[in-house]
Amino acid sequence: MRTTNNMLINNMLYHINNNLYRMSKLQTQMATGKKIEIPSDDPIVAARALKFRTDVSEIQQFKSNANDAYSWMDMTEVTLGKMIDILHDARERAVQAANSGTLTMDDKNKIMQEIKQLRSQSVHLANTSYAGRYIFSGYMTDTKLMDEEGSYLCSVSSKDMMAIKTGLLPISAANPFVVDASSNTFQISLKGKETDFIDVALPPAPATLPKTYTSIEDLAKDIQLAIDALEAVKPELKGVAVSAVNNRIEFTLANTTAEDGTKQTIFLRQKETAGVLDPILNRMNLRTEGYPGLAVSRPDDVNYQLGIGDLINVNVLGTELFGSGVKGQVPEYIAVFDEFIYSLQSSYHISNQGVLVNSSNPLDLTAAGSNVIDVTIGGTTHTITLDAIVYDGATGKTLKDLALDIQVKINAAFGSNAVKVEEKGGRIAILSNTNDQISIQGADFLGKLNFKHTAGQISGISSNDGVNNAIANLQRMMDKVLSIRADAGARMNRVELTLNRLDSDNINFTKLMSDNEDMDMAEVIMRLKNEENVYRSSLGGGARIIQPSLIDFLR
Amino acid sequence: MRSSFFGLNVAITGLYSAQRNLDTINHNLNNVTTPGFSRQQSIQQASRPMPLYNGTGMVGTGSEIIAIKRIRDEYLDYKFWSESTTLGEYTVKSTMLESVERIFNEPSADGSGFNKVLDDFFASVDKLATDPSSASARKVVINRGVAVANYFNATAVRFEKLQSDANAAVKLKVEEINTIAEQIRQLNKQIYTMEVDGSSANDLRDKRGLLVDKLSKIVNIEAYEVVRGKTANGLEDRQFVITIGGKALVDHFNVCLLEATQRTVKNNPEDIPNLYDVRWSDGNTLKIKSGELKAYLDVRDGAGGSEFKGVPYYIRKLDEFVRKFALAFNEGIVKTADPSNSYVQKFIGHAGGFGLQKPGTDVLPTGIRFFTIKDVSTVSQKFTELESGEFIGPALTIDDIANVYNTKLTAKNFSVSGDLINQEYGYFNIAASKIAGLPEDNTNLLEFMSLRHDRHLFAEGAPEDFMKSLVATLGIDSQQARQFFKTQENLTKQIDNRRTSVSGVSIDEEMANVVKFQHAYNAAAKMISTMAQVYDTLINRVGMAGR
Repeated sequence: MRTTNNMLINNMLYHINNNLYRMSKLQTQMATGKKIEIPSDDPIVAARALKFRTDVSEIQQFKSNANDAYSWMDMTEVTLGKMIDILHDARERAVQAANSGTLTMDDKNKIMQEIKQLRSQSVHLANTSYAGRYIFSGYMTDTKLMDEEGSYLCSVSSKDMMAIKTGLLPISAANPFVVDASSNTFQISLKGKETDFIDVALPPAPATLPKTYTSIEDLAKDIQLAIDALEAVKPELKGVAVSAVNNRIEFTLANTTAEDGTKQTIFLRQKETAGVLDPILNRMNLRTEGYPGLAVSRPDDVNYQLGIGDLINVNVLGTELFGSGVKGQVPEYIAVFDEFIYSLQSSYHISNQGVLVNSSNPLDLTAAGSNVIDVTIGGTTHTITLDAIVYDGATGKTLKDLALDIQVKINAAFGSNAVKVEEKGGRIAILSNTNDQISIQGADFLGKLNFKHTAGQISGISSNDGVNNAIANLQRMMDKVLSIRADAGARMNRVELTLNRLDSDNINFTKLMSDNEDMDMAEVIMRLKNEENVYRSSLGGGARIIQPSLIDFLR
Repeated sequence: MRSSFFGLNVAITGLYSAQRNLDTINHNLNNVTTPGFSRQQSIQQASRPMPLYNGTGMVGTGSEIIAIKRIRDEYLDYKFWSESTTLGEYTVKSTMLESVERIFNEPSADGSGFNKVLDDFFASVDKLATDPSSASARKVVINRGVAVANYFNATAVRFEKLQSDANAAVKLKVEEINTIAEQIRQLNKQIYTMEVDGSSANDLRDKRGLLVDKLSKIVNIEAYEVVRGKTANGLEDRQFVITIGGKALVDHFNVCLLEATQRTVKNNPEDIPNLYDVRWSDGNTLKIKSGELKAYLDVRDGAGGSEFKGVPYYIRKLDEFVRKFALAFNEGIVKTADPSNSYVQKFIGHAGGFGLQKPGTDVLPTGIRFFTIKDVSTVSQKFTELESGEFIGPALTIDDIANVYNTKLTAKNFSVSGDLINQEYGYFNIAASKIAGLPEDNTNLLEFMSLRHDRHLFAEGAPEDFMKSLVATLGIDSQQARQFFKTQENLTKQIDNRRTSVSGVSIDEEMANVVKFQHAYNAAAKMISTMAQVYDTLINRVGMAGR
């Protein structure tokens, strides 16, 4: 084929150019250490590089979460350990008090002081905080769990006490809440079955639509009355309490086990009439999901993400640990200590099982006969008539005032200092100051205040019986705390294992990432050297052939 | 009877022939490096012999140059023009696609790419889930959200700039085509005039060929000579025609130019306004198949699907991501996976959750959207991040809300909402809580984290899969364009080599010919000297016997 000088030169330039291009690519690889600079260099490597980076970033985040979870749970576990020590001490004292035949009053006093100390230490532990958050308060980590008296400052929803809380409802005269025909009914159920839902209509009879509420307490009270009216049809609704707490409405269910042994939860649902939903639940700032909108009570579990779709529960709930109760109530754990103290304090005492009294759940002693009781001390009986008022938590109408009233009236009838009446968080205790047995009769009153009576009568527990009860109760508390502690410990183990796995995952994924996109330095340098050789030889060879032509050889 | 100076005349023809040959070689050597030059060859033949009437036969009368031929293979030109169009197209496409790759900047070494920005955002949300009431963690979430929005804004703007650059290039190329067409027309005139007597206007044809080479790179043309009847002196009337898509750009002395006019109606909603439409100046539509002009048009207008994936495709993809992501994050609404393709509310989303109670108020913020748009606010009359209420407007049903996102939100105006940025204590508005705005309630945040791995969020899968698939598609397209470019370059070069092989000047060959013709000249000159001596003898010596 006829070949011209220009062709030679052009070809040489073309190949040298390609050579330089390859060298420049290798140069970039060596300088960056990466196989690719732009995705077109190797699209598959580029796509995988993106995936691996995301994976590594996720693993870092999970590790950080796992470390946070571990710290929180460590604090919890230490606190539970201290509680077990307290219970252990208390139980020992109880055994001591029970076994030594006759203890002097002095001895009993010393033990009582110790138990009082242990009780207040328990309250203190209940308010343990980690990084400024109270660890047993469920979602309300900005609120202490208990006050010094031992009554709850917040209602923690757990599997032992279910609660649904609405959002903040700033209802006032300037901002009233109106209930009218288009928005006044919702449905409630404790089982969640379609057939089990029952309508709750506001306002409760005999009030009529429309009704305007200017305070949240009024609204809560009406809802409670509406639900109470349904107890005849669905007796399990008796356990549902509605209160206005801190500008929210709380629906709480203290007894989560039904009579037939099944678990109960509160289900609130929007009522649907001919395809139109009644919006009253949403107007109460309660988030409902699905159609029709459903709100279910859930435990206040704080969950951290440890992996994709892998959540761990990091907290222990106060109401599970100490016993169920809403704001203002003293839980079982504290009550056990209180009972023990009362038994050491007096020879006989009567106590109730805790009653919830607030503006939405008032205690009405105005009905005829509900404020009259027959009190028998040491064989003498007097009829006591208490103030016939409605106790609703307002000033002068708290349960403490009722306790004072009972104390004053009984002492007036039987002589000074016959009894001492104490009230803590809904638990009323009537302590006999003499060595005589006390008994009370009055079905109405006893029922309203949740005393456990038989045929309208209740008698006091003796000191010995009380101490023996304390041993059993403290043991029961200890068993409960031990099992919760075991559960927390098991969760901590899981977090540790996850941390280990995340550590090795981190290494693995980083290695995969590097294998995918990093260049092997030795290989790059070798290739670069090779191309350099080719370049030099092509330059040298090219120079030799493009230079001479026939002109050089003609004379 | 012999003519007296017959020999001299014959020798002189040799001299002339050698001189003419040397002239041709001279011209070739001086044009070795001229682009588009085809070597010329003088055609020499023996002149008409004279018959002798006494039966001796015919005696030769020397040589003559009858033509100077231009050595050119028209077929190779034709092949070159068709391959160079594809070369032009892929040169432009591979460069533009590389620009697109650099705009995305993935995989990035320094953490400025989409992947890192989104990873960081999710990491901050996850961190907030472990301490939902922490003010500092909330502020970090807002900052990371702003980083995400900024990435999309900046990338969308860069794409718009790329589209604008391609648009300017379209206009330039159209002008280039028009200029070349005009020049070719002039050359057509000159060549026709020169060739009226049957000769060949070699250098002018070379010039025209070079212009056609240039033109073929820009747009797909067919260039050929047609014979339309005969001229006045009986020769074939050859006219040069260049067509694009069947319609003549240049036809002999006539030219129909192209024009670029600005569009009034956008092709794609993502386009910048006033892009150029290319048409024939007499109003007909232009059909182009290949070439640099097509490449710029594809990059500027290609919206994917059956068309090239150009800038509108990538802007649309960015818009799609932003809309679906914001819709899911803000409202919890996603498209169902089943064929009905309707919207369904999967979870309550940011708007359905509760923030924290701000100091000094007694309400929990709710109905807040985390992402809104930057627009002129009707409330403040300023260009700012809109607040949730203004953004959503009166839309209530799922479809209405989805419609708001699909019409109002784009990658360019995507931003974190004014409720979070412009309000005092805006970070209280982050809806971490699902039920009731309690300090430790992180249930809504955990739902957001599940968004990260929701494989039904996009057709391509989860958010990370979306970007992965976009980058992979882009990488493959760009790689392919580069491969085509390399192949075409090689192919075109090979054809060009063959052209040069036929038409190029070989210095060695010309020098050898110089020697040849120099000898021929010397021989002819020697013949003249000899003939002179003969004449001298004849004139001065014959008939002078004895004197």
